Amino acid sequence: MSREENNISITENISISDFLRRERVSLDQEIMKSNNVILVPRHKTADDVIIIKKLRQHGAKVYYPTHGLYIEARAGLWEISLMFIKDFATGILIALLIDWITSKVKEYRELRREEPFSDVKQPVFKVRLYFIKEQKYVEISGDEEHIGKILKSLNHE
Amino acid sequence: MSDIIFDYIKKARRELEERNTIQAELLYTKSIEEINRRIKSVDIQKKRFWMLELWLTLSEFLSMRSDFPKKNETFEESRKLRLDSLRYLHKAITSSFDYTDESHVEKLNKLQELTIYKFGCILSENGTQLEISCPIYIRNSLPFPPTLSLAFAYEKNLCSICKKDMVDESCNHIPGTEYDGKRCAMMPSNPTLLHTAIVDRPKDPRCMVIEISLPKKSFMDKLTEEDRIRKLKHNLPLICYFCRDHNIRPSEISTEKFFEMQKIDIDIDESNNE
Repeated sequence: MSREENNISITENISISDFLRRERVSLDQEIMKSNNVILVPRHKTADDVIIIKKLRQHGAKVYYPTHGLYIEARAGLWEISLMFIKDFATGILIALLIDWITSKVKEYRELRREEPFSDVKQPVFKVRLYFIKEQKYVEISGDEEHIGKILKSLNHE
Repeated sequence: MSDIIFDYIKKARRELEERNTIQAELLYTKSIEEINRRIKSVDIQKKRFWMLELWLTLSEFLSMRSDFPKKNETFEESRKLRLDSLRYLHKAITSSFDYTDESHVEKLNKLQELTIYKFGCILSENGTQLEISCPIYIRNSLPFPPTLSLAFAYEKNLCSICKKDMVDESCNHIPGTEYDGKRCAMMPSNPTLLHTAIVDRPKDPRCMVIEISLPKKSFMDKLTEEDRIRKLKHNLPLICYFCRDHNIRPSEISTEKFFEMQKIDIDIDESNNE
């Protein structure tokens, strides 16, 4: 069952196998057993690498596919890959994502200060999360404020 | 005890308010002469102070001369006076450490905006083409956003510190962090440029069109016959009045950019201030 409003799409009661099938992803059971955060990106980007590093710093065991090319730097839309969250503390992950978004906005503002003429719009973000325990898939897109608010509310659920 | 120099300047300003430009010019000239005498006779520390006062006074004086041109003085001569006025004010602001204040910066910005409105910007000519680097013109005249995004594909992200795949568990380095004086960065391996896209929301806002080339004819055709002949006869520059014609406040253009766009040297020769 899914609902969508205000740039948030939530699909509930979706089993992992249905979800994987929908995403056309196949994952070895061994991977599912041995890792507590799994990134299965629609396309790989350098931002995934930063999140992986920080997750590992917090003790997460992270699986990330080695196959596939990195595709970088399209428009100012930063997308965080799909994540499966198992026992790993959701709070830490949410905090990391918020921190990552904040750092991206700060970086963007620093660049804007160097070149104020470009009159560009603010960057937007897309975060896609699958919660294995809750069997829930959440996709959020929007600016820093919108995403931050939704992520914090997810953390409190 | 008031200084005679500042007395001259105060009087010059009063005369200018009364539109007595001949008297004002006389008083400004006296103050400039006196400042130059002062510069030659004082020690180094005071000399710096008086150099600053000289540039500020020269800027004020030249601005007055530009606003009240003499008989037979051409529009181009008035422009040159105004540009020199800006250069002196800019020099004063960028050379000082303690003496100038925010009011001088505000004055420079306002004067520059008025200059652009009144005198336009000289266009850079290159054969049959005009090279335009004004961000205001570029942004408003292109039929698409002036910003770009590149897309690359690559195999791996290697760590600049240990040279391993950054995703590998054996690499503990975090991008952006310093290790023994070296900053960790991600190094894409075997990158392939996929495309350049015109976007209104680039990942890097500095990626933008910074110069366009237009046929000179497109500007020449807008001149009257008389102006076209005068331009060719006296080798006059082509002027852009885009901001004035479109009622755009050119507040985003810095003084350095303003002079750079017109390929005019912003620097003042300190030895030649009389």
